[in-house]
Amino acid sequence: MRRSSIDKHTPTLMVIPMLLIIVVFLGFLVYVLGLSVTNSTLAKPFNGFIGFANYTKAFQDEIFGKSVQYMLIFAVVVTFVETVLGFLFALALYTAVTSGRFIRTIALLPLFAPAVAIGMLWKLVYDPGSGFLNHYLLQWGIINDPIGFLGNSKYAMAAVMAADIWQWTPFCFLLCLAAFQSLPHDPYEAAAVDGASGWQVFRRLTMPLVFPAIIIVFLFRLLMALKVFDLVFMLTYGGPGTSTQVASFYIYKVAFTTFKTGYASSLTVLVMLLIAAIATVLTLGRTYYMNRTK
Amino acid sequence: MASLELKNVWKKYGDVVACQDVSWRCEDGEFFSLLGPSGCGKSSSMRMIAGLEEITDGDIFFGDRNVTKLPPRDRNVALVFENWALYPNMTVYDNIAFPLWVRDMPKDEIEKKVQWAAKFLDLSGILNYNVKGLSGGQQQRVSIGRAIVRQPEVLLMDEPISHLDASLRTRMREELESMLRKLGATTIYVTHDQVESMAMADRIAVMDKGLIQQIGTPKEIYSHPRNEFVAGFIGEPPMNFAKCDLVKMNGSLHLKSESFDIKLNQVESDKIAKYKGKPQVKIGIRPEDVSVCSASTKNSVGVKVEFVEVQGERNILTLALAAGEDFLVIAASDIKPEKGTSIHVLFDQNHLHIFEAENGNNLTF
Amino acid sequence: MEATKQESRISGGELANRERGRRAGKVVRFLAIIAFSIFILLPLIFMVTTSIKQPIEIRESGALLPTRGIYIINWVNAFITEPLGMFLRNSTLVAVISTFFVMLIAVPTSYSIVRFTTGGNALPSLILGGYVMPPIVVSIPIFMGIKSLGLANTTSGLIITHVILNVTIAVFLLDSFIRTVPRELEEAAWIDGYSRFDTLVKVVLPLIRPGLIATGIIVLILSWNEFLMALLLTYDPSAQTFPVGISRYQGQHGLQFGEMSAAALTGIIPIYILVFFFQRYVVAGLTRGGVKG
Repeated sequence: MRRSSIDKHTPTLMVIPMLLIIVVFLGFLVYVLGLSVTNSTLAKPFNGFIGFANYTKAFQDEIFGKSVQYMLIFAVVVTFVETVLGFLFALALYTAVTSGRFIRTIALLPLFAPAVAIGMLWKLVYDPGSGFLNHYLLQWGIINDPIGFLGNSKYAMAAVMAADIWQWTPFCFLLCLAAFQSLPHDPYEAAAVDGASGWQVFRRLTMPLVFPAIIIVFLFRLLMALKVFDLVFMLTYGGPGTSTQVASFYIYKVAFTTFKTGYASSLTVLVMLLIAAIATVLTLGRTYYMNRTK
Repeated sequence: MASLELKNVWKKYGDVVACQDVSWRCEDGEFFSLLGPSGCGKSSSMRMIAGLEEITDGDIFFGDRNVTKLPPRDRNVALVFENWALYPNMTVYDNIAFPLWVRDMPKDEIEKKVQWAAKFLDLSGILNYNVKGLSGGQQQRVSIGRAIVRQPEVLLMDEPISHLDASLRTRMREELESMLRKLGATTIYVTHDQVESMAMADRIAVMDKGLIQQIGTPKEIYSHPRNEFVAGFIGEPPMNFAKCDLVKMNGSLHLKSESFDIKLNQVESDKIAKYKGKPQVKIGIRPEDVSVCSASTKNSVGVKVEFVEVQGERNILTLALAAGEDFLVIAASDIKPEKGTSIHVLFDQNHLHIFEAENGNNLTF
Repeated sequence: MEATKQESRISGGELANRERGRRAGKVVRFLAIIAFSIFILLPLIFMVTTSIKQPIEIRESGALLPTRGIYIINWVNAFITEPLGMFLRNSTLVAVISTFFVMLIAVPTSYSIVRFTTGGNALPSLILGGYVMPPIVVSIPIFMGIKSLGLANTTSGLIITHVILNVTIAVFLLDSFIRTVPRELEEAAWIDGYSRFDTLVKVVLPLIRPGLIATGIIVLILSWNEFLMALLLTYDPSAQTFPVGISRYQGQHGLQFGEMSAAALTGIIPIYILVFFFQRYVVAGLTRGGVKG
């Protein structure tokens, strides 16, 4: 067990494999950048340098603009709903001791199924003939004809959102639950002796303490929701028409069904920049907020 | 402020009995201490007085009011928690103001009262600081401030200084005592540290295993402990104990063991004249009531010197009796026998306690 | 015993509302449990019941429970219509092996970053950046890369891909676990003569065993569920994984919901068994990494 002189270098040695991966990663980004300024296709990479032509095309591409819009709307809406619902459930259930294990177990279920399976599941649920949504809506007389949720461009986006909300609300719930359960016990007893009512305690003590954690949950989930792909693929394949075509899906179509990898790369770069900007703004915003309340 | 009384209070957690038939009364303005080792029921008692625990059986009265079924907010108690339980996201001001704010007091009145409490506790300079960054001593004072700001009927303190380091603790003890005297509040002070209790309280209730062992002034408890537990728990250095038999020899009562044979004087004999139980007893005598003497003194006890601890104006001798018991003796600083030598000591019978072997009751009470 | 003590130590809010509110609080909680359970379990139960419904009934109605008896053939057909066994085998292979390598790389990396702040601020930021990127961003280069290595449509290609994609998350998750080990323990080991590496293996790892399990399971599941790259890099069942397999049921044979449900369940149930047994670790991993941000 003698310490050799290698030991000094161990920390660096330990990260070398990771560095390799990072280099590869950066290589990918460079590759994508490279492709984006060329007229490449899947078969012929680096076909010919065309400067920023792909980018100008992207800015004029209405479908692309729409897809970015959809991506943002989707991410913000589902994150908001999931965080609020998760918070409410956590608020209602964090004192439940006996059923705690059961709740926790079932909360993990939607989370860990593959998104494609969830997609398939909801496809089934929404199906006009075989799905239980239509079945019971009809049976209870709420509607008179079955609704093709996924085939109707008005409802499709909402339907996809609903599926995502089903899948990720429990995740937000678990995180909020952890936040509630990490609250200190003693100040609550002090509040009882001080004579505070349930509402006063909630407003003055609980909320300020959990709010920072809730914000983190929101931001965390938002960045994840921007990446949505699998669900869209399975449920609607971007349709009907292009009404659920989020950015990542559009890029997929351009790159792998029309094979225009050069153009797709430029779209990728733009989306990447957008997400990076959002992440930066959010992180800075959060730091600012945290410092302000000191 | 009001008197506080517990009548036949029981507390059970499932099958575990934390408090057994606890009854005591504390007068208006009195500084009353609950003293005992961990698990003796003092904290449970306090929490029941505050209303944080349900009372399994019995009643609690504040003055004439039976508060047994009332929630904490209706009892008008204040509690200084062991770990201070400050509201972590709020400033010193907000922490102290909270109980007033809860009662919808107008802002300027709150301001007046908080300023008063802050001045009283020397916190005026840090009112706007968040409590998270404060030192232990400061946090403790904020906790006290929050408790006294609304002038409660009863002020409860649950080991308030046990989490401060030793030097701070001594200082805080003095400050606390003068502060509480000035306040004149009915104070219930829970602690496991008998030095604190003895120094500060008007009266002390000693508890062990859920039972009240004895209630009395510090002096009473010190000089006339009701049983072996109280005798051994109070006093630093602690009382010396030794087992022996109570026998009648030649018409007088003797305490006889392998280590000694002491003939009881008249006063002591009278005290235990009525005792009719088994001869096995235990004697207890405090270190300051044992004196070094010459071998020829009547009733002297032969001992071997184990260790001499020099403490400046006094020495503490650790002596071994013939049967092996260790006795501590406080002696003057010039008495410094050599380690390993044999000397003789005398037990002051005026302060000699005799305890029943079975239940530890003090027969000379 | 603990439960009764906890019941006695009621929180401030509940105590204050004791007269009126205690029962109300319990009712709300009960309703919340019911609502939560229905919310989560209803679609899943539907999937199970659909998988055992007769095809005719599936086409006709979307009722929750099968009314025409139980039809297990769906499950059998699931394996016949598509090579489901193959998909599951591939998924298992890719998931297990890629997780192994991910952990091999992530553990030393994470340890190095936490203990020795290797790479200063740049390295953690890069790793975080890798995590935030949507997979689509690197899909094109990975596709071209794997193809040029001749590993298209192989499980090896997929394994490499998954390692690259998941190692950032693993580092991120392990980070908060490693931070729980007190420095003093490691310093004691160094003083005793352990090398840095030995300290990691013999002192730190045993202490963060729950964290290792949590991270390992999460990475395993991420790999098992991964869809996009598997879709792009494979074109026949010899290398296709379970999620890709599921998507095939919809393309070729119209919508055979019965078989699809059965097929989906065969891939989901192993995961659920895993999660059930290790849920304590998994929840710890999620909440540690998540709430601490």
